[in-house]
Amino acid sequence: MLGVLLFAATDHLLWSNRDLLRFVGRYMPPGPNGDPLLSTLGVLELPRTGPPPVLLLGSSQVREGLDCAPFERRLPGRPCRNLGISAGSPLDVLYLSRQIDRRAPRHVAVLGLFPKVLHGRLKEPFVDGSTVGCLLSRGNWRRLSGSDRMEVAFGLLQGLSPTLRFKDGLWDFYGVVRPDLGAAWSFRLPPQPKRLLAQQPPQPPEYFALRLNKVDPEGVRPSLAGAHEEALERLLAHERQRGNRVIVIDFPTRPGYESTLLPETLENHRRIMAGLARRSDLSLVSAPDLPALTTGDFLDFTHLSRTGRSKVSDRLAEIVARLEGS
Amino acid sequence: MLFNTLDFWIFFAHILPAYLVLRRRAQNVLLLLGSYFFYACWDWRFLGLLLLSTSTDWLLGNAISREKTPSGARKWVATSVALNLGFLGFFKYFNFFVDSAGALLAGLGFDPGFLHLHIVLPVGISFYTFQSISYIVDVYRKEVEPARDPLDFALFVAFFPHMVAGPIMHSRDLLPQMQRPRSPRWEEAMTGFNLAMWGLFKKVVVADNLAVIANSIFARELGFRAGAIHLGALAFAFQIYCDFSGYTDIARGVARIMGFRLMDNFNHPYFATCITDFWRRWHISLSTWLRDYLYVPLGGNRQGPGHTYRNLFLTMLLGGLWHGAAWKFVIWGGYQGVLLILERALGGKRLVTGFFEQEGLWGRLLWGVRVLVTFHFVCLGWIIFRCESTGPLWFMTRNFMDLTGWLRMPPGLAWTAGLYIAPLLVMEAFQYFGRNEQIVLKLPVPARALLYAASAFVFILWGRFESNAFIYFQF
Repeated sequence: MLGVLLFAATDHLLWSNRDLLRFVGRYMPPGPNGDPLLSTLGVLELPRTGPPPVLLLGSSQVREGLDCAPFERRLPGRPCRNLGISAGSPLDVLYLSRQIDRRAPRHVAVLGLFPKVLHGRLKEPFVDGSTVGCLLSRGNWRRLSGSDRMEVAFGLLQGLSPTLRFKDGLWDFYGVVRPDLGAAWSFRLPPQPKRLLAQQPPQPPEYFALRLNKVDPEGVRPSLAGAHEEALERLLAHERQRGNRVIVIDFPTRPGYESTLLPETLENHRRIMAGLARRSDLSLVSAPDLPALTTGDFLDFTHLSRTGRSKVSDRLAEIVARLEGS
Repeated sequence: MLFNTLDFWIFFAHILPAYLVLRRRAQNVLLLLGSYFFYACWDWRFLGLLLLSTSTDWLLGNAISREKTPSGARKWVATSVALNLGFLGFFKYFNFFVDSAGALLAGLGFDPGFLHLHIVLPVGISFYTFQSISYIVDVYRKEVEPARDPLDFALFVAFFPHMVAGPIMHSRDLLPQMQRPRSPRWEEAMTGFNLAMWGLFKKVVVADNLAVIANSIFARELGFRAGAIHLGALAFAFQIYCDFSGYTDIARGVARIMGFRLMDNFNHPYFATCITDFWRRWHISLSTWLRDYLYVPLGGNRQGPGHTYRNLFLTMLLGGLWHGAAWKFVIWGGYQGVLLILERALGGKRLVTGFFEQEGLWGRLLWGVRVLVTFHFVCLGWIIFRCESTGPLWFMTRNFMDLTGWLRMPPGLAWTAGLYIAPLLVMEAFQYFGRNEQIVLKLPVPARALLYAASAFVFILWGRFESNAFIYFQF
């Protein structure tokens, strides 16, 4: 018992150290393995005091496609943080919002949504009691497969140990530092690696030709639609309760993307967006509010290129600034 | 449902509280239902085979005890053994023998046109078949009373901690535990928990990580160079040991938490000073079974050296075949048989010696040399055992005999392998030289807490939780 207590205490002390998180995070390659640690670090770095920050939440479309600089330019003195995670769904954002609450309960939440995340699969490191609550409340639990249920159980277990939660990322970290363990040992930080997809060239035409009109069901769990909707509802209610402004973006995608989706995924997305448009407790930003985008503004079907990122970020920052009265 | 998955521990967490509040018979009902559920998670279709085998052996066991004459009893023993071996032979060896006969006839220019059936091997059949045979023979030998209650017998066969990969328990050891009340005690449960956690550590940290190295080498990704072969043998030697002994420790630990005692299957096998010693320390339940139900009935060592050597060879050959329906296992069994015969001819039991029996530095150094030499020959056996096919066997074994290979292992991979093997060796050394398997429990509380906390970090960071099956499940 003493051993377990000692482990738990060391584990939590170790991973609440911001310097260690920053050091590991600097080396950590982006992607689903690194998300738990990088998002924890992102939350820990939020200022506890001062004006409410602008938080960019959602999936990799947000992480890759939105730049904080225009927001900070248009809202002087207001920090902006991009907390987008790979395939971040409403369930994942709900998990994050509970972490954010402890650090910066007052903020502006800019939430990016696109069709697949509303049918996204569960991610173990982003499972907690509220995830289980969402799954139970809409009867989704009964529809879950055995492996999904085990993911929930394993996710809850990960909540007990940050080392377990960060494990995959730590292995990626080890892969990066292995060639120069001496530098890592002496805690020498390398320059911030270039991580954004936007810095890469767009996909070639064959990429799109191969995928157009072909349904890609990867990572899609229609059985979780109800839970994601419930998570979105709880998230919005929570933000409303805190008095935080919420801006939801129906994230732009490249023409033709819809032909790669399951019909129920598309239908679910349209229905939810129509519901959000009718609400008065949030601002919905959709394609007509954004500048016209061309195929050159996308890297692939869903991620913005450097030019698209700049266009969308500028426009969105303008909208947020207007809403915030700057 | 594997011991190294969350599924199993959730299953066990459901079984245990109910088990603790029930009385003996209700406990047995619960355990039996749990065991059948555990087995059905593998493949529910073979539950019928398990039930058939269990009910047949229970009936025959009782029939044997009712017989007045030995010849009448022998008739039922023969029926049971034939049925059990028939099931095992069909499911495990049918295709092997048909394919081998087909290949032989094709080599002679005939077109045999034999039928190759797509038979799935029922998990654990080799283990529960041998256990059932031991029960029947023990009843015949009047070493154990037949189980009057079919529930007790069914649980003896299907008890989930050991059903799919042993230990193969003697009926005289396990059956009485099914028949008497059990009251698990806290100290026993803690010892069991420790054992299970250590087994889990061996499986997910040592075995599954070494498997990555061994798999790449045996897939010939590094060619046939001596250094690579040596590293492959070393990695597989510790992989298979930690995989199988890890399984056994979890099985023993889980059983102990519930108040059962399963036999130890391993006793520091890599500290053996000769192959005879190795087989007293490795898969003890199988070697004991082979000794009691094959070697001794064949005549053992009672009919002179010639017969002894024949019996040794046959026993090990069949022991090899028990591991799987492939020629490499037959060759491996034959190799072990030849080594045992040579040892018997050279010195017999005098070669079996422990560290604590040595006097002086020279004796202890010699003991160390014997351990290393034995380990080398054991590793040669593992190359035969692990080889993908018999094709590259010759090149691999020939290059393994180049002893400089131990010094020429690929450094990066060798360090990685060493990193995984080191915690195991340290613990094994503590246990062996401390003459206590539970030596950790003797440490002062702060040291133990520190050790557990450090182990938890290693377990989480290095552990592979990818549901890798245990090697012996395929046997």
